[in-house]
Amino acid sequence: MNRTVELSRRRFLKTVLAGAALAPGLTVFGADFDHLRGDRVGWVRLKTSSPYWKRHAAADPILTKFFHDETALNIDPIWYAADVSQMRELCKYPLLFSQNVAVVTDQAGQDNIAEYIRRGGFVLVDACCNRRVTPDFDVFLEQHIEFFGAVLPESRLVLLPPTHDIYSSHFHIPDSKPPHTFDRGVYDPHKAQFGLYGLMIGGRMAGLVDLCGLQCGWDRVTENACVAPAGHEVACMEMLVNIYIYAMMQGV
Amino acid sequence: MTRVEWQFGGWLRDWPATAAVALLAALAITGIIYVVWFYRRAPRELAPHARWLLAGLRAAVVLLLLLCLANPERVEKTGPPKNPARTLTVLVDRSASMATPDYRGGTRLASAVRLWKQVEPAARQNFPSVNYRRFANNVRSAASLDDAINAGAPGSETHLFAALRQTLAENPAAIVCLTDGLDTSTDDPAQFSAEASARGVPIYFVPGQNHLPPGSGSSLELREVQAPARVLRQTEFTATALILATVPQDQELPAGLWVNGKKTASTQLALRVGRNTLSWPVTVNSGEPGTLTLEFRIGDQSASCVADVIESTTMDVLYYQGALQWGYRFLRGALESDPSFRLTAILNPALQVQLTTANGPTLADLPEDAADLKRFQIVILAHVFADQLTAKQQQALVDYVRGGGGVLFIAPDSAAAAGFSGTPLEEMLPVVFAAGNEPANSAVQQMQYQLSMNDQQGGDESAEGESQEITLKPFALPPAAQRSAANALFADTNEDALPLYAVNAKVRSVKPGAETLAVSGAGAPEVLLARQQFGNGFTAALTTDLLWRWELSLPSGNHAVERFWQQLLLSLAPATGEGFRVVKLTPSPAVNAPVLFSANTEKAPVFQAVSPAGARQRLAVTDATTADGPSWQADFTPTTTGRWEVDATDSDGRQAHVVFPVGKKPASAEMMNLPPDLAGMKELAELTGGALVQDPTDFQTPVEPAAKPRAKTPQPLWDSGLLLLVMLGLYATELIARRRWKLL
Repeated sequence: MNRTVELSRRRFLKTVLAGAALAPGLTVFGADFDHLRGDRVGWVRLKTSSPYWKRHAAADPILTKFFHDETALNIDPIWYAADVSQMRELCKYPLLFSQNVAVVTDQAGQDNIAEYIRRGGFVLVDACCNRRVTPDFDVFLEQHIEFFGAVLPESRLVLLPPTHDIYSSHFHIPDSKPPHTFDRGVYDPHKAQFGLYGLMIGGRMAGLVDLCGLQCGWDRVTENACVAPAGHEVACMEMLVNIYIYAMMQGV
Repeated sequence: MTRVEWQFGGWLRDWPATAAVALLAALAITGIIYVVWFYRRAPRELAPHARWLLAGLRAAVVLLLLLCLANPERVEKTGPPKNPARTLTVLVDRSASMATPDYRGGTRLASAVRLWKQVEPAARQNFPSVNYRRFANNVRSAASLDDAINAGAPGSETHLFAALRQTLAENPAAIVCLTDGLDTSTDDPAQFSAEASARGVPIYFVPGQNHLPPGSGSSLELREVQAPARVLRQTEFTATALILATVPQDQELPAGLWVNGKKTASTQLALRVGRNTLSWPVTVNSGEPGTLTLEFRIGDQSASCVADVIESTTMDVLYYQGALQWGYRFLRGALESDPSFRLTAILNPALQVQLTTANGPTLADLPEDAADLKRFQIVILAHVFADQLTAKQQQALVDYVRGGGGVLFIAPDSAAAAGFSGTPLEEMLPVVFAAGNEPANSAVQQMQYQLSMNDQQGGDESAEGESQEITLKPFALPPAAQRSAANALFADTNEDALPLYAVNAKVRSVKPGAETLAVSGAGAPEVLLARQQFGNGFTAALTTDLLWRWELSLPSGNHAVERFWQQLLLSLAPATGEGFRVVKLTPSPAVNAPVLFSANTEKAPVFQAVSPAGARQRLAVTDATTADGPSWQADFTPTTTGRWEVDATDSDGRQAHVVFPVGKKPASAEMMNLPPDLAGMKELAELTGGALVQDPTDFQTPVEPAAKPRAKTPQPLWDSGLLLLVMLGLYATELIARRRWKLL
C-alpha cells in the first residue's frame, strides 16, 4: 500500500508555518500556575431580595474551576453569599457578583453598596438572559444608570470602547465583542449590540454592568441551563476572567 | 569560589533524582524505538543514509522535547575559597607596645612567643607548610620565627587589621597572629570583621600579655557627623556622630546634640578600656521648612552639619507583583491620595496578564541592572517567588539597596518566603523566614484543590451560599519598642487604628541590628514588620497580605490605610544626599604638621581656620570631586597648641564647622600602656572559625571552610528562545527532507 500523500507546495509551507506558530505552545508545559498563587479569595454572589439572586449559582464551581485551571488566581472552589444588608459580609470580598443591583431599593442596602465601592470594592452586574428575569435589556441598563447615579453620584456608567484592556487582559476576546447568551438560544440582534459598561469614579473602574448573560453561558448543569452553541460556555468564562483580572490589576 | 550543579525543575523537582532519570530514560528509549520503527515502515523505499538522517532529526526533536519537560535548572553555589596547599601563616606583631618591658622585664612579645611554642607542635600536625611575617606599620616577610621576632626595630604604630587583610589576600589555610590586639590606626574594626568573616579563613590569636601599669593618656576623634541633606517637614530623621576613642581604663564620655543652637539630646557614652569605635544616632524632628544646623559636641570636640527641611517631595515607587492577588488595587488607591507618590507597576510575565499603562511604556520586567532602579526611591516586591527573580535581578536589588535605595518585601506565604533561603535577596532582608509548613509544591496544592472540588461535588455544600469564614488579626507594637524614625510609623496611631491582616508568613528570627516595628496582636507575638539598614539603604519585610481586607473593613472616610502605607514607604525612602558638613581628614593633628579638611557642596565653599586666640585665616580650596559626589578640600598648618576651629561657608551662606584640639605631637595609642584587647581578639577569632589560643587544646584541627553554600540560585534553562529555535529548526529540516524524499 502506498501511503504517500500528495501535498501541494502551498500546503507544505502552511504545515511548516503552523509548526513555527505552535512551537511557542510548548511553553504550556511550563505554565505552572499552582506555583504562583496568592492569598485565597472567595467567589461571592450578592444576596438581594430578588428571587433570582442565585439563579445560576449552582454552576459557579464550573467558573471557579476555570479560574483555577486558566489563571494563577487562588480562588475557593465553592461560591459564597453576601447579604446586601450586612456591610461586614460585603467587605470580606474584593468583588461582588450580582444578578441585578437595581432591585436594591432599601436605603440601608443602597448605602452599603455605595460604601463598599467607596472603600475600594468592585461590583459586577451580569444580567440574566432569560426574559422572565430580565424582560427588557434597555430598561435594565437604564435602571442601573439611575441606580448608580442616585446612590453613587460621583460615578458614571460608560460604554467601554473596543480598544479597552478588558478585552485582552488575559484572554483575547474576538473582535472585542463580549459573548451574549440568548433566551432559549434564539439570536436577538438588539441584545447582541450591548457592550460592557464600566462604572467609573474618576479614572478608576469601580464596577461593571453587562447585559451578556455570562452566568447563563457557563451554566450547563442546573435546571436553568442555557441553550447555546458548543464552546459558548468557555467564551463566557473567558470574558468574566478578563473582567475579574482587569478589576484586580487595573492601572498596572 | 562558585560551583555549578544541576537539578530537575517543575513537576520533576520533587521526585528522587534516580526516579526522574529513570522515567526520562524510559521515555527517551521508547521515543527513539518508535522513531526508528516509524522510519523502517516508511511508505517509500529510502536509502539508508536518508532513513538515518530522518530518524536522527526526529529523535533529536523527541530528546529536546524531553529536555523541556525535565526543565533542568542551573544552580550556582558559592562557597568559601579553599587552600589546597594548607599553608599556615604566622604573623608576629613587632610594634612598640609588644616590646615594652614591665617591672619584671617581661614583654608581650616574649609572652606570646612562649605560648606559641607550646602550641606549635599541634599546629604543625595540621599544616605541612608554615610562612612567617612580621608587622607594625607594614608587613614584612621573615625567614623563620626567630627572624620574625628579632629582625628590625619595634614599629611606632600597630596596623593590625591592615596586616591581617594583606595576609588574607594571600589565601592561607589559617593565620596565627602573635599580638596584643591593639590596632592604633584609624581602620574600622567592624568593617574588617565583616571582611574576615566573608573570607572564611580561621584566624588564631596568640595573646601577648605582661604587667604594664596603665598609662595616663587617651585619644579622641570625632570622625564625622552625618545627617540627610533634605528632610520632609514634620518627619523624624536620624543624625549620627561617629567617634573613635582610645582610653586606658573604662570611663564615660559626655556627648550632646544642639539643633539650631538649642540642646536637644545628651548622653554619656560608655568607653571600655582600649580602642572604641562608636556611633551615636539621635532621632530629630524636622519641624517646619527651613535650615537645621546640627552640632554634635563630644568631649572637647565638636562638629556640625546642615540639613534643609522641605515642604514636599516626589517619591517614585516601583511595584513588582509575583502572584495574582487583590493587594495592588488597594495599595494603588492608598498611594493615589497623595500625588507625591508615583507608582510604576510590573506584573510577573508568567501571570499572563496583559494591560497597557496610562502613562505610556513602562518596564517589562524587573531590571537586571541597579542603574535602571536608581530612578526609584522604593522598590516593593509583593508576593514574589524565588524562582521568578533571576540571579541578576536579585543582585541588582542588592546593589540598589547598598547604593541607598529602599526595598519593601511583602510575603504572606511561608513556603514562598522560605524559597528565598540562601539567595542574595534574603541576605539583605531584616528577617530569616521559617521553613514553610504550608504546601510548598504545586503537586500538593493541586491535590488539595482537587480534594476540595471533590468534597464539593460529593454533596458537601455546607458552606455553599454562606459567608466565608475570615478572621482579621490585629497588628501590635513590639514590647519596649525603641523610639526611632521608623517607629514614627505608628506614632499617632491608637490601638484601634492599627492594621488588620488575614494571613502571614512565619519568621524564624530577626537579624541582629534589625528593628521589629510590629508584631501580631493575638496569640504568641509573631514578627509582622521589621526593618534594617543595609549598606546605604533600607530593607523592610512585611510578612502579611497586602492589607486589602483591612482597607475594606474601614469606613471610606478613614485614612488609616493611606497613612500606614505612605509613612511606611517614607520610612524606607533613602535620605536625600548628605547634609553639608566639614570633615577633618587628618587624625590627631599636631603643631607644625598640615591638617586636611573636606566639605561636600556643589560649589566651592569658603574655608576659614580660627586659632585658639581667635585669629582668622582664609584657606585655599581645591576641587577633589569624585564619582561619589562633590568634594572640596583645604589644608593649613597650626602654629600653636589648643582648640582650633575650621569653618566652611557654602554659596547659600550656610555654615558648618569642626572644632578639634592640636597637640605638640600626634597622639598615638601605641605607648599608652593599654592592656591587651583579649575580648576583641576572641570575638574576631571566633567569627572566622579560629580561637583565642590559651593552651595547646585550643588549637584544634581547623575544620574545612564551611561546606554550606552562601548562595543558591536556581535558573531554569529550558525555556530559552534558542532551544525552541533549535527544536523548530530540526523539525523544519525533517519536514523539508521528507518533502525532498517524497514522504510528504
